[in-house]
Amino acid sequence: MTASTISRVSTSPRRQPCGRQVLREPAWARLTLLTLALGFLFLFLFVPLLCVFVEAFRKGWHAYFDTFADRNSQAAIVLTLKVCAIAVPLNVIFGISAAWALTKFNFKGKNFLLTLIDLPFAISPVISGLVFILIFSHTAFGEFVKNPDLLAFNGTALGQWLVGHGIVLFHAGPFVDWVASLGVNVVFNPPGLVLATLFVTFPFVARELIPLMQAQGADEEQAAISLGASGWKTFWRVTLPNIKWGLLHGVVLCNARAMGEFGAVSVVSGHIQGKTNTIPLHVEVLYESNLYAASFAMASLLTMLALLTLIVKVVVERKQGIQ
Amino acid sequence: MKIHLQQISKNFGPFQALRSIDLAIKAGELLTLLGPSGSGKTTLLRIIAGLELPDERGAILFGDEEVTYRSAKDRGVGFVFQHYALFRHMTVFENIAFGLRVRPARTRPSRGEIKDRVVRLLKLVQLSGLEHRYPSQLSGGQRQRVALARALAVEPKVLLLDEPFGALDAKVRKELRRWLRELHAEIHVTCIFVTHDQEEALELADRVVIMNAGRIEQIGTPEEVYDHPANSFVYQFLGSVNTLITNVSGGRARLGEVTFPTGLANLNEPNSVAFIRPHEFTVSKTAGAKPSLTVTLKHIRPVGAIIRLEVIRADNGEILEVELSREEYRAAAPEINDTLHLHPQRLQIYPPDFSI
Repeated sequence: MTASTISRVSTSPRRQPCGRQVLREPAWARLTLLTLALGFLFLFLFVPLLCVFVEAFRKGWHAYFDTFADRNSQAAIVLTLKVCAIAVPLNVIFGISAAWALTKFNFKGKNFLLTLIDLPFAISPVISGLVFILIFSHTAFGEFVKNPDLLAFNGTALGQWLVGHGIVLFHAGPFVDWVASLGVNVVFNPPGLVLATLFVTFPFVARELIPLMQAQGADEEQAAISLGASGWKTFWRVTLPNIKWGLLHGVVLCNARAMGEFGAVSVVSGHIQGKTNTIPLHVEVLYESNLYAASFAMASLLTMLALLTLIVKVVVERKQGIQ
Repeated sequence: MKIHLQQISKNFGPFQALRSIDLAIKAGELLTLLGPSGSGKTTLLRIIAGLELPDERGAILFGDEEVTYRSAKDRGVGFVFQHYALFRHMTVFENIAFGLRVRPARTRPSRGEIKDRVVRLLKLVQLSGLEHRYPSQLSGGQRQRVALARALAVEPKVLLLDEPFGALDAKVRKELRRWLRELHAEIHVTCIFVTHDQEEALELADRVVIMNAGRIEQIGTPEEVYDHPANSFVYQFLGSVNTLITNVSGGRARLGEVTFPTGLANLNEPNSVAFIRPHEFTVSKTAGAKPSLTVTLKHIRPVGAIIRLEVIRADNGEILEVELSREEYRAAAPEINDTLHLHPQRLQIYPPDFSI
């Protein structure tokens, strides 16, 4: 609201003395810019979107719904929902605690933590998937180490020196043994998908909340505490109501990315049909099997999710604006 | 409840915000902490509230109880923030009731009691009828009164106010000042009020604490600190003042051709500073029997009830400020470029040990 007032104030003196000429481009320029922008949107956004649905329905309604009757497709949908049901709430908790810590307290290494939160944005998703393979490989690790380049590293002077000092880089250490002893298999298993999704999507909630909480400051929390509220009550009654729309916005974005993530998930999943394939991975499998209509039918699910996300986003932003 | 602060220090990294503050606050008094920004007054207030911890060694006593490390939640203080800090998603009613509603079930009043108390407080802060508004629908002055009612709802042992009227315009500020004075007379809770506005501090306080660079410069009633400033900082901070370099020998200060008694019989100091307030001059067109400074009138500025004159000393060209009441001005009837004779009714010189 303030921003709009300011801009109105600052433009009005310009508008008055020189009339309308300053702010109005000639008609041809306006038309060109508008056509360019709309043409771009049409070509790169609208056409692909339309294409998804056209391809999905190419063989008719029956073929479209048959795709979802398939056992593997159903498994993919259920798995995607499961992964999101675990990853999104965990990232909500992480995002709130990170934003709380970063905005309500002062401590050393604050800026470093802030940078770390952005890390998943900066790293290619494939690399993040690979990282989890490296950390958690046990049985699969054997396959991985057959890669001559990595094996060769252990033979290099540096590698030998490291091994000599008890640092074996390309070996599943006691941590992996411990995790395996709990009966949790990470790589090529659903827990790996959850981990990779968590990693890729953890900035969304935190990034959404940090600027919001920074702008709100800690005054209200301090007031609540001086009135005798405990930290817990302060959080539920003061902090959370103040950030709820921002939080919802972050959750929506986080969820969209969690459902649509391909790269990181693709690396840890191993593409086992009916077991470790999420919707995006299943789309790829179907496409590579030349089942185009089915592939696009699955893709249309994700597209509809994206549209739904956009709608929720607009509604939330409007609410946030009112508040 | 009386409050004792003992050797309170606080460092923020290399910055010393407070340097070993000792202060005793009497039960039921309205004390103002007055000082320029960065003098440590807000830090001291936040330490009393428990929102900030003092460096070790210091101690805070509420009555006879030590509360130095007690959390803000259990101290039973009411804190009023400069920018209100109202809960923006709650109505006025919910804001005021907050402190009662968050109490554990054992000590929480019943719904009816809470409602009664909020209604009573709304009446006290003169906001009856606005209980269903949200903070964003109130003016600044109204918001601050809600904040005050909210702080009072928990029946605090001490009320701490951090520049509460700082963000309001001059007229509302004056009204709220008078209102707070009356409120304090009515409920008689111990109040500590932080401000950088000397007029506000002098008008409100039973006692004023003047702070500078993390230290207390003077404590006293408004009359005491204004009429008998302990040192040159206090003198300069409380109201406008003319500073004149003077040569003091045998207790007499020489200004140009004339000497004035200083009241410090044995003082000999070639580079002293004399302080004279603008309204402490008697102006006449003719030199009388009393020692006076010869000046030339340069500007006349009527400012409301007073007339401010800008004059230049005849001997060294220094500019001085003189304030006259309208009657005095009419009696003297000076005009621009007139030669005037100024007799200082009071002239304050601090021995160098006490000045900064």
